[in-house]
Amino acid sequence: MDFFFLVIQRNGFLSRLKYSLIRQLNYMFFGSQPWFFASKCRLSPSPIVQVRPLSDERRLQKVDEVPFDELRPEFRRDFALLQDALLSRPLPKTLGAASNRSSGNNSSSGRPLTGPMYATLVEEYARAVSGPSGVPVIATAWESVAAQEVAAAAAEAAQQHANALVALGADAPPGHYDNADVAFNSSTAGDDKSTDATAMDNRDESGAGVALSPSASTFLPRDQAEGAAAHARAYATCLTLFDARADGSAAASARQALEATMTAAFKDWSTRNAAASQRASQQVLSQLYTKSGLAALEALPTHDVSAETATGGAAGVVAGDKTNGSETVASSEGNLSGGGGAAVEDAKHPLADPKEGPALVARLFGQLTAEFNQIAFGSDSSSSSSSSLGPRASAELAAFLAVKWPLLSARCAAAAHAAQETEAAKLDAMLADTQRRIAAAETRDGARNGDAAAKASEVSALRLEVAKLGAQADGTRARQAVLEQQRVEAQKRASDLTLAAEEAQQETERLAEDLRRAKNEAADLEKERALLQDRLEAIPAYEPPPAACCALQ
Amino acid sequence: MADADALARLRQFVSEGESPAPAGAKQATTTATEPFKNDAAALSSNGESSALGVSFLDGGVPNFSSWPNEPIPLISPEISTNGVEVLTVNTEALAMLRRIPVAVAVLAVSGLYRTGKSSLLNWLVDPTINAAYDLNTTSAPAKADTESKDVEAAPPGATDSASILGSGFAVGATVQRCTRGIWIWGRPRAVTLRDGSVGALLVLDTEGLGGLESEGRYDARIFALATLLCSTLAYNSLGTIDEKAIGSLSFIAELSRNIKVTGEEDGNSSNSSDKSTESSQSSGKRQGRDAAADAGLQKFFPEFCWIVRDFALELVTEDGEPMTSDQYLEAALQPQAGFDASTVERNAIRRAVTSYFSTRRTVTMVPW
Repeated sequence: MDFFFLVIQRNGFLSRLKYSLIRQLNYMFFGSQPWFFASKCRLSPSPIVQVRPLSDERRLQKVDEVPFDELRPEFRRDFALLQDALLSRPLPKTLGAASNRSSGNNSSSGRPLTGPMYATLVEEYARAVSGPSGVPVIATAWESVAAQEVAAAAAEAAQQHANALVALGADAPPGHYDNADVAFNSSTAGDDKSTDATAMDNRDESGAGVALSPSASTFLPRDQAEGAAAHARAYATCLTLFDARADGSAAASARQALEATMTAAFKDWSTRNAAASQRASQQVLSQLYTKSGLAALEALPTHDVSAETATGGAAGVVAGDKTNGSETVASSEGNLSGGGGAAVEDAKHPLADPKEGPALVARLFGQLTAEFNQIAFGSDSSSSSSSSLGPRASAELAAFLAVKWPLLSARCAAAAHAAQETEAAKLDAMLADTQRRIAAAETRDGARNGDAAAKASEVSALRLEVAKLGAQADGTRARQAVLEQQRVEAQKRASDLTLAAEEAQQETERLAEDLRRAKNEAADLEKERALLQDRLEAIPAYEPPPAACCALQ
Repeated sequence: MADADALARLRQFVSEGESPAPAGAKQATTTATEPFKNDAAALSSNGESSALGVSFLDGGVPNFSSWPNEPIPLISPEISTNGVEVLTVNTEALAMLRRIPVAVAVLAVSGLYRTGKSSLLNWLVDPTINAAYDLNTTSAPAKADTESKDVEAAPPGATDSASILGSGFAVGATVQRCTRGIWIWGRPRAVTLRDGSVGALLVLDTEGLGGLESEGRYDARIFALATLLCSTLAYNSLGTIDEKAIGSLSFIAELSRNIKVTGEEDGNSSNSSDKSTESSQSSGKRQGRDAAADAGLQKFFPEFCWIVRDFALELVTEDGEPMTSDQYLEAALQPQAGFDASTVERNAIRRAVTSYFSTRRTVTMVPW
């Protein structure tokens, strides 16, 4: 039964004709049992293209020394297909489902292996093959790869997170803010150190400038909110990164460790940021303080004049030292402190004014606060520059103002008090002088009063005399009228008495003579009366003493 | 750079490895490995700087053009101190692998000894022949379409063709196996992976199977390692896929004995002698377990590409119709009737091939 036509050729080749013939014969005899036919005859397919081998056997053996272009064209054609099959879009080596038992790692399959992971895989398998059992266990190897990848992913994620924080702002190099602390407390000692710092660190050549525009440097401090946002971003990114890479049983604990690491890193960064913020804020404040001339103004005139001049001299030295250290600020600063020094020398210091002093202090601190806020938080217009003095800026400003404002205000008050005291003394002297003058004026006044009384009595005497003279004049006029009557009578009698005319004439002439004399006398008296009247009017009225004197009294 | 020194020592190492002195094998191993410890340390120590020493070209393509364009031993058989032959990993190769920053695709070529695997690989890694598949060569896009027809013209962009001749995977004309263990080409190839991302293609050359000096266990271990380490396994054979060719794939059927998915299945599959004494009633259970094990292995196994090199190969069906090379392979992998021992064994091999390698392809070629 198990019979079929089998044609075996020595060369193993079967022509297409024979192939079809045998197939036909088998079909005729055994019906359609193609598997018999297939299994026996398929294995000797007939060639259509007989390709001639490289004739040179020696060349075939040293085929690698033959240039590829000289190989047979058919081979090169087929090789192109092989290239396409093997080199075009090759399948990546992927991390298989490492553990069946700890399932839930479905995501693990299909994850491409990178070089380091592949290296670990190679190591693991080679070790297993050379191990006691000699049989590699896939799950074990994958677990190692996964564990190593977890560790690498965690390390890289943590590193990336740290880099993100570093990119936010690194710690300032040592000495970067050194001068700030000292300058904040006392000016003279700090400047030696600031020059030292500039000598040590070339980057700090214009350290003041850097600190005044912190946005230009990549150093801390940074805005805490910005840092927190960057941390949150990096945190999420790194965890995503980690989740994308990490897998296996160790992933969960490594993730927790990574989270803790990143949180700790941010906490550390925040601490350093706050410290840097404190340093930078203090430095900026001290520089603004110096720039605003407050250092010079602080050397207010106290009750001790010698101390004042000494402090003023010290301030001058400060300005001189600053010019050596930081040139950008030094020029303006020198001018300002020079002006301050001039102000100190002025006896009437503006801050010593009890009314203007507090207002001036308030204005100066207001300006300082505004400038500080400008540096610390930036204005709305230039918000693009993330200039920031960090989270401690406000607190430091508050602390600064809390320390400096009362200090300066108290100095102002003291100076104002001293100035007022001298002013009061001066006023006391003026008062005494005025009182002296009042007393003198009073004595002068008494004398002038006596004189007036004498004049009044004189006037009354003159008036009396005038009245007497008036009465005399009246009497004279009455006598004149009597004499006129007598003359009229005489004239009448004369007319009557011609004889006696001459006598009468003579009498009349005598009487006329008398009248004329009396008229003259009356005119003289009248003239004298007018004179006296003038004199009476010429005497001044009584003047009361000056009002000032009264007020002083 | 330290790369020059590393390269020099690498060459020295390669030349030492090719002519191992049998008498002083132990000494040879120490001298061979000792410098590499330092070398690996040096590599890893400056690896911090050179870990990113792989510069990237446009589009995130890593530039491997400075990597050694020559084979490097990856896993080598060595005699350990107690006289047992062990497979050791070249630490320098590992250090190089760790510097690859992208996903890797691994092509391993296996096959019987003396079938010209290494020659084929030398051509495959030669950038002058297949620049179209290398993202590091600038002329790639222009050549891609014309490659198949226009093989004669060497790509003008590739310049280091001279390095191929004389420094490729070892090729020999004797019955001695030229390749010991597993070698890796020192310069990864920047390629576009199947998912479209940029990756590095590594090429592994494995020791020929079934050589005179081999023992089956060693071959099986090498083959198992190659299978586990690659994403595409190319099996190179001369002649048609006949029963003999199928029979020569016996080490594939043995894979399940040389590879375990998990540690648990240790007792079941490794000592099959216990298994047979245990009971015959569990044969059905064993079948199921084998199937499960096959399915488990399948997930980790690479693509399988059978390179059939034969002069007289006509691809026709039993009806004489033309068929594709893949259909040819599938037909050859159909179980055959018969209950004689060899047929059963070969059918077992066929089943192993189909169950382990879910993705199978065939490329037929005429020899050179």
